[in-house]
Amino acid sequence: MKKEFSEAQQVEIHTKDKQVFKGILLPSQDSSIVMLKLASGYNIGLDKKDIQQITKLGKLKIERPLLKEHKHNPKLPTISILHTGGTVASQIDYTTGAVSARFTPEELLAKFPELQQYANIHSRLVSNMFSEDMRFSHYNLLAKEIEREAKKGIQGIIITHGTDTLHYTAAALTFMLHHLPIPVILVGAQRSSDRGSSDAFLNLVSAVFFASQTDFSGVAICMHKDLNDELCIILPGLNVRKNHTSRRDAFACINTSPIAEINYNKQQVQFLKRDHKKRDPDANFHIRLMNEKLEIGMLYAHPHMHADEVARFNAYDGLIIIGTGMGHLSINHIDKFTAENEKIFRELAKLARKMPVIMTPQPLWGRINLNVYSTGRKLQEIGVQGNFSDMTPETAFLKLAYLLSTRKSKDEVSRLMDTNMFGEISKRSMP
Amino acid sequence: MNYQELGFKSGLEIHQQLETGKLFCHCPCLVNDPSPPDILLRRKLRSAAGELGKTDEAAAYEMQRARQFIYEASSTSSCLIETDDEPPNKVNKHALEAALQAALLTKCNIVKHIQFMRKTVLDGSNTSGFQRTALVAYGGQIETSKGPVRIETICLEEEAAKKIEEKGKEVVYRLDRLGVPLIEIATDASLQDADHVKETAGIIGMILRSIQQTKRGLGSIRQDINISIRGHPRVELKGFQDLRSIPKTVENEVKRQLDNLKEKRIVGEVRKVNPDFTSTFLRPMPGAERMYPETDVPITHVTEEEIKKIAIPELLTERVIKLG
Repeated sequence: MKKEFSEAQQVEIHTKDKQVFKGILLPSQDSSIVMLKLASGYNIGLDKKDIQQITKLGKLKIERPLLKEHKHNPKLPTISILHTGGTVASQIDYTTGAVSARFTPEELLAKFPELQQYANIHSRLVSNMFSEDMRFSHYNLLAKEIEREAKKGIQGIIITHGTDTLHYTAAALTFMLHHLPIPVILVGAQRSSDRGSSDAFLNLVSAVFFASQTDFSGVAICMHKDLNDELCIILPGLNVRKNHTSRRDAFACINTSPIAEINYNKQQVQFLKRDHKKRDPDANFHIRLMNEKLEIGMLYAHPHMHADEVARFNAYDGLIIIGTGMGHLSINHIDKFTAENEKIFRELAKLARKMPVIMTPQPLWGRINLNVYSTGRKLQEIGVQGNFSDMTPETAFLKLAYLLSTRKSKDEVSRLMDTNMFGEISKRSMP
Repeated sequence: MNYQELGFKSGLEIHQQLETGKLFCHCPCLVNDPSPPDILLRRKLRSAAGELGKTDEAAAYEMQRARQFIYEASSTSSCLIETDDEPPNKVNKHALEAALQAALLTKCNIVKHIQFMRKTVLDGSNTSGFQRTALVAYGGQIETSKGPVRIETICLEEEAAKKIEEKGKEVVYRLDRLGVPLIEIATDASLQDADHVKETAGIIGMILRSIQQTKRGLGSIRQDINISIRGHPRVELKGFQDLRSIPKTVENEVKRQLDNLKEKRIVGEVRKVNPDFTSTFLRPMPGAERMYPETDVPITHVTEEEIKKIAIPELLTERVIKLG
């Protein structure tokens, strides 16, 4: 059993215009402003110069409710929830108005009591960060945590993650976790979980339901299917992208379809593909780590480019080009305005001699084809790769990182980059 | 009826809709959008941990879980902000200006650093699960025939969605009204009798309508009246259609509270006013308000210079005198 306290300083403030405020003193970003929480719940900010006197009235002690101890149920599967940040189980302190994230199993179950019906929940904070700050070191840390949990014989892992780079992490883990015997489901929320309407609730319970009740194994993302709180979809870790800044249904498959659809309210899972990878407790599970020193660039093609945009990747280990159309960028000197393009071409040729340079599609949907236009053919001649690939730029970036981390031979990196390994490149484009 | 002897206490909360465009997006203030809904959403709301307090968490949770909210919206009057799929834009400066004009007209002090709050609301009337509201001014005063009445606070807040129907566990709301700015003016509890309540409501209404950007028409201004007599907890009366119904309804409420005291049935509650001047139970009095900062909206700083620049509208009564 666990008790928690926090304290709040009560004060009485007399202003120079003869007003009296009673409330709780809040931390203020600006030292010339005093922030006060009034008894009505409202916060107001007063200028320090307008205040005559602040009298301290003693401290308010706030006790958090006791949380029920979590008992292991041997009849149920065990699911580990690893947190990397975000506030899936946030707690609001109404005395001070502060929102804090909660991560222990007890705290999680206090908020999601229904999880106990399906699984024993382990829950732990791995790192607490914004997903946009992630580096390869964090992928390695996560992979090692997953390895440790999986070797305990648990039935599934849920990773809570900020949504900004959720699809990057999903792709990285798919490459790094070899012969994964269990499901690893990444879950995020587009609307913060301190609000009653947060999509975190349905996303998390659907992910736990899916991981504990089906035979699926592999890395996938679980998010809302649309703007309703009804269906969640399971998206393959390698072919998924965030396509909206704030909508609940921002995540969608690129060039493929979702793995499954979950109707949590009806307790139904529907697999949408003919087959999926099944759990395999005898699989030879092992992890391959990322080289944390790698430098891989991403270059977004656009009109009016300059050669120095390309040249700055000179000392990098690899480059992903996010090219226009079927895989192009401005390399043709065609008239008096386009002399710069020739310089771009020369710089790019230099890079391609030194490092893998991979073309990916700016349109996201569809396949690279460097044979159709002369620009593509010229790019192939200088060694730009990626022809016939339909990987997203993000997946290509992580595949190149994975290959450069795990393969010594340049030729092997080059060959594997254009070969489907784990489902990142499809053979057929479906109408 | 001798109000003084009964220990009569009453205060007003007047809500006035604005015509400025919505508070945190660029949708128009169409509170009764005639275009047919082209957006239909099914949502649920859950309480954030720790909110349930002393009630049985599991039971309260089950209750909430069972409710399904259906939101109808027209793209003419709602965007992703009303559907809770986009964070708020900048606060509407015309709405803020209207609230500050109300503050100056009622001799209030303006809060120099205004912070919008999230007030937790789980009945579905806000898609987000909270209402955005800020205290913008305090400590003012208006003159009435029975002496000055203190204005406690002026708040600027978002109007809630309109409930269309309730069918079993499903509640249907329409989003056209959600996010329309509201000025809320609250008096202290010093109103002396039923006629004084009506008079004060009339004066505040006149002040609000002197501001250019306020909405006119049925439902654009709403009066909530708090009433208690000695020994009885506060009761809130909501939904007055007409100022003229105030005195009779207040009188009936005082009689009801007297009966309650006799029969030892004493509860504070929120009641809905009926056209026949009686009232019916609406919901229990809300507990301590559940507020925490709206971190998506930066603190709005109001300088002395900006306050000096606010045009103080001419009161309707002054205009009438001039015309006369």
